[in-house]
Amino acid sequence: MAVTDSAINPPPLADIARLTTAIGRGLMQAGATTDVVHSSIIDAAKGLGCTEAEVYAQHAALIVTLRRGTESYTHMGKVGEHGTNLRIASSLRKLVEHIQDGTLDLAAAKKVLKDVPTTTKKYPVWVVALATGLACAGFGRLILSDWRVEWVVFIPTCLGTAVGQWLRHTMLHKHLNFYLMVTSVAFTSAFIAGLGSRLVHSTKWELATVAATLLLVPGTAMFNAQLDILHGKPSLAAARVVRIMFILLFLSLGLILAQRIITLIPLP
Amino acid sequence: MSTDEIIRHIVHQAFFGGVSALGFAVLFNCTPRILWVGFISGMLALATRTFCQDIFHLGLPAASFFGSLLIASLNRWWWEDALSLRGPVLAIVGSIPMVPGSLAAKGLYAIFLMINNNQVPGSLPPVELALENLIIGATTLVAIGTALAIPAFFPDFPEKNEEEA
Repeated sequence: MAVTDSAINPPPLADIARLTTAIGRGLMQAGATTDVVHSSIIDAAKGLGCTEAEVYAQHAALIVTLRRGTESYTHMGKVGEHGTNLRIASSLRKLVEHIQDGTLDLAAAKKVLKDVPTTTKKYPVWVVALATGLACAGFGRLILSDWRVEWVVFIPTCLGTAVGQWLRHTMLHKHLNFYLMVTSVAFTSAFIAGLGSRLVHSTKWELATVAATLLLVPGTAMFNAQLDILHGKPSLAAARVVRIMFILLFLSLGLILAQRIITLIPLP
Repeated sequence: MSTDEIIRHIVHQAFFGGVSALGFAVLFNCTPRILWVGFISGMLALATRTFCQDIFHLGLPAASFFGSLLIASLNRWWWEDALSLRGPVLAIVGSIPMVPGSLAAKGLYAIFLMINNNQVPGSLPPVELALENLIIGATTLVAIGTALAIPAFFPDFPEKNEEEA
């Protein structure tokens, strides 16, 4: 029924452009590669009756041009902070598939898109903090690369990272400056992990401080930057690389500050 | 290293690779039904990397390439269909424990040391240390990224009915 209606009264290009830009924005913010963003926008636009679609993705903006017969419309939308949320990315790609196969018209797609942030489930903050703690403590074991040594640093590293993840969640929720967050979280995680490791007389406490800050290393952005280059989309890749370098720089500042302070604290 | 030590080393690295991948799968908000596959993915990646390093004496970038290629291939030709996934979700989750974040941090740390002119006697001068860490880190990252991209350039396995036709 919806397909018949849209064939008689095709929806305005402006509405399709707004919808497809919003889908692209959601995908970028959820950690999708530029290739996925481009193909999703083009597929959704064609599924809604456009004959041609062009996309230009920048780090902080998306420009979409749609054509249908003699009509043409260009729309630009802002993109927020890039993160990684694989469940949201998956929901948005399913939405595009439904638009493509005609099971959703524009109005229904808009409703589904609006509901994605609220209907997508997420883990409680304490679960994420604990999981991140375990992940970085595991990273610490990988860096040590020896099953016989320094098991004592596992718990301080896990604790430091978990507190750091909770702090990251809180600071991002309050929309504080991203790089200030990176330094603060790196300092907190490294300080707790390093001090805890020194208190249990570990000789590898510096390694524990490094492992505890690895939650901040933007792994997905690193992969996306390379995949963007390999798929022939170097401009967004370049922006991602610059951002990664700044994150690592601010991470190192927090790490070094924590290590210097820890050395000043006398052991009992 | 003796055979026993190599096996222990591979098991150690594989287990903690799995733990890291599982933790990052939760951080990246993967659905609970695929978390265990995330653990397997990280475990396989690290087992392959450590095996290549210990048995074939490959460097970190080459060994990471094979670890990542294995799980990217599994994701493309098995997990995507079996678990109805969209994109290389589990390959990314499994490759995260191989990201040389500590090398990058150490490289930057050495740069800060160089700026402070605070060299430790008997160790490499900070500039050499920084370059070594950053070059190995960057090439490892390129190797992982390339391995993740390779399976996407190949076609799907033909469907059963297509084979019969």
